[in-house]
Amino acid sequence: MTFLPLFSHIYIEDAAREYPLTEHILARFPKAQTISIQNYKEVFNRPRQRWEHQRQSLKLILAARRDSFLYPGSSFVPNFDHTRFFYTTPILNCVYGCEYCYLQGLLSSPTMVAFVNHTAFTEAAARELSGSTPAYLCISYDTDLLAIEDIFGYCAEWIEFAKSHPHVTIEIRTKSANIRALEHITPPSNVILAWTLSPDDVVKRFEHKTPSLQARLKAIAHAQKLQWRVRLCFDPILRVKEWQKHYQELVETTFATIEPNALADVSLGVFRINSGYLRTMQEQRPDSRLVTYPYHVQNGSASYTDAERQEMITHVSEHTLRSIPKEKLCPVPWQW
Amino acid sequence: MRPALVVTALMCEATPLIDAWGLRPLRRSEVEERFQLFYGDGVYVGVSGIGKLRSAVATSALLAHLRSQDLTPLAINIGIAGCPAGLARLGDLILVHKVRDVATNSRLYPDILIKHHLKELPLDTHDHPVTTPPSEQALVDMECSGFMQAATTLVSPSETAVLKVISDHCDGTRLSPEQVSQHLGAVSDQITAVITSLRSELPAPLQLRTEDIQALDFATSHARLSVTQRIELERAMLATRASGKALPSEFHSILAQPIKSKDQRRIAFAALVAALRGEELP
Ligand code: SF4
Repeated sequence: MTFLPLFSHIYIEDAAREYPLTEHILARFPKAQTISIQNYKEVFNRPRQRWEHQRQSLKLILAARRDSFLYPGSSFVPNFDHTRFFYTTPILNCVYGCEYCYLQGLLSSPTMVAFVNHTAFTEAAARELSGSTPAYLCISYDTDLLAIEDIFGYCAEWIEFAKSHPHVTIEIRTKSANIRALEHITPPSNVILAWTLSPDDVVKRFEHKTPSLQARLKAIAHAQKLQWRVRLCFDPILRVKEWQKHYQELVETTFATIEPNALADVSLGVFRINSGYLRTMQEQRPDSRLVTYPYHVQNGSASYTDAERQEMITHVSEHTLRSIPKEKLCPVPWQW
Repeated sequence: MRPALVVTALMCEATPLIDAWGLRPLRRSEVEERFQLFYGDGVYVGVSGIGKLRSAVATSALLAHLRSQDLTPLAINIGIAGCPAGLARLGDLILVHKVRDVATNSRLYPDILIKHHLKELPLDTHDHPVTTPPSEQALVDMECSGFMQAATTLVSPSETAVLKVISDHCDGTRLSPEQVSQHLGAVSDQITAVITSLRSELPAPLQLRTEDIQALDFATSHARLSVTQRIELERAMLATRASGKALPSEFHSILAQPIKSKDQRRIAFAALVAALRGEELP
């Protein structure tokens, strides 16, 4: 192994030094080189960074966020019938390396930025989501929080928030198998653990560094046993070679392991991405057939053609509906 | 292995590396003469002169010169530096992870991705020699911020590296050129190890071949492509090359047709991209 290990270098904003989480993280990585910085953007937004180099040895920036604690939800993801739909980004970037990940087109570097002033996020959420109108908040949006829960503990903090704000449903989306990290918590009914599932072939070829399908299914079964509300996300569905066979197998394997009646719901979505992000990714990854595939571009969004999308959604939903009732199947906007 | 450009301030810093790597002088152009460029086995060593401005000028000129020959070298700054006593010992080789320009307080960060056995420290670039120990816990030199500023306008931070040998403890010691060479010579094996890892582990960005660029130029003028269309076509050509394939024969046959009207241009462009990208599923 020639590359330095995960978080071999930790850049610390001067303003982030005072937070207990900074101390906690530094204690987890005693061998890391620590480098003082004034603002996370001076490292994160450097021009001409090469994603494929930096991915080999991910670094960490500890920063204090000054504003923009909550964003309105994107039309690319389902809002599950909530008009008050937000997401938050306690961390930018991800320890996993999915080849289709839009972060490669959105952010200038794979370096992870962890915002250590966590209370500022929950306070902002409490202000923004005040009242009793139901609200929906995705907390694992530009990252996979459960995968790194052992280091940062953000999921636990947000679950605490959910307990005192019962009108806010919190979604923690993940591909990880790290349910053990939440074993000590009593699951509140307004927290949903949403697992992204892909066929084994897709996991192996395109969802680099993520747990296998089997490991995810095992984690889901355990989460169900612990009484967590679980959502399954067959999303993004990719049109890969023999996709019909792979997705049929995925659905069948899933419902052979997972108790369908105990599921909150199942969400389906075909791969789609902002076409600007895709262009950037195509520049960075000319060697990826998945990235350079000739997607159909429409209204600033790249995906498959309408007919292809219909065909894919129909195929996967037909197989899924053999195990769950129709009411539990959630559409991604504009895909059905 | 990837080519590398090493920039030193002084000839006496370059000499031990030139000797260790068996480099020979290149005198094919004004740039090569002016910055005393040496070459051997993928490694170039150039001499900038003292000060951050000279370092920036040499780094820009040499990188541009090598890139004009379709080379995409790593950019490495090597030389001597001082530091407060207690921070590092005389003769230690240090890998720098932060470079600050003291005059402007601008900060630059070479990425350190590859395993190494060196001590890492930050470095401050001053406009004048530092003869009294500074309060900052950092190395001091007079070139590095200029080198980094120039290098990172052309290459990524992961393609830069800064290696410094501690020559003094900022106590006013003046070293002879022979002493400087001795310091560098003593650590040349460690320098070689770091440069070899960087060169073998950090692949160059994929580039189009000369014949691809000619085909792209022809397509641009024949089908009167816009700048955006040219960029998209170039991307599709890169993807074709990345998959190890040659340009498809349809590419040339599309361009063999007369392309006059706006409609013909649009159709030809779409056909060129489709021919390159193909419909095969990932
Ligand atoms: S798990 Fe999600 S955030 Fe992480 S790399 Fe994959 S797609 Fe991106």
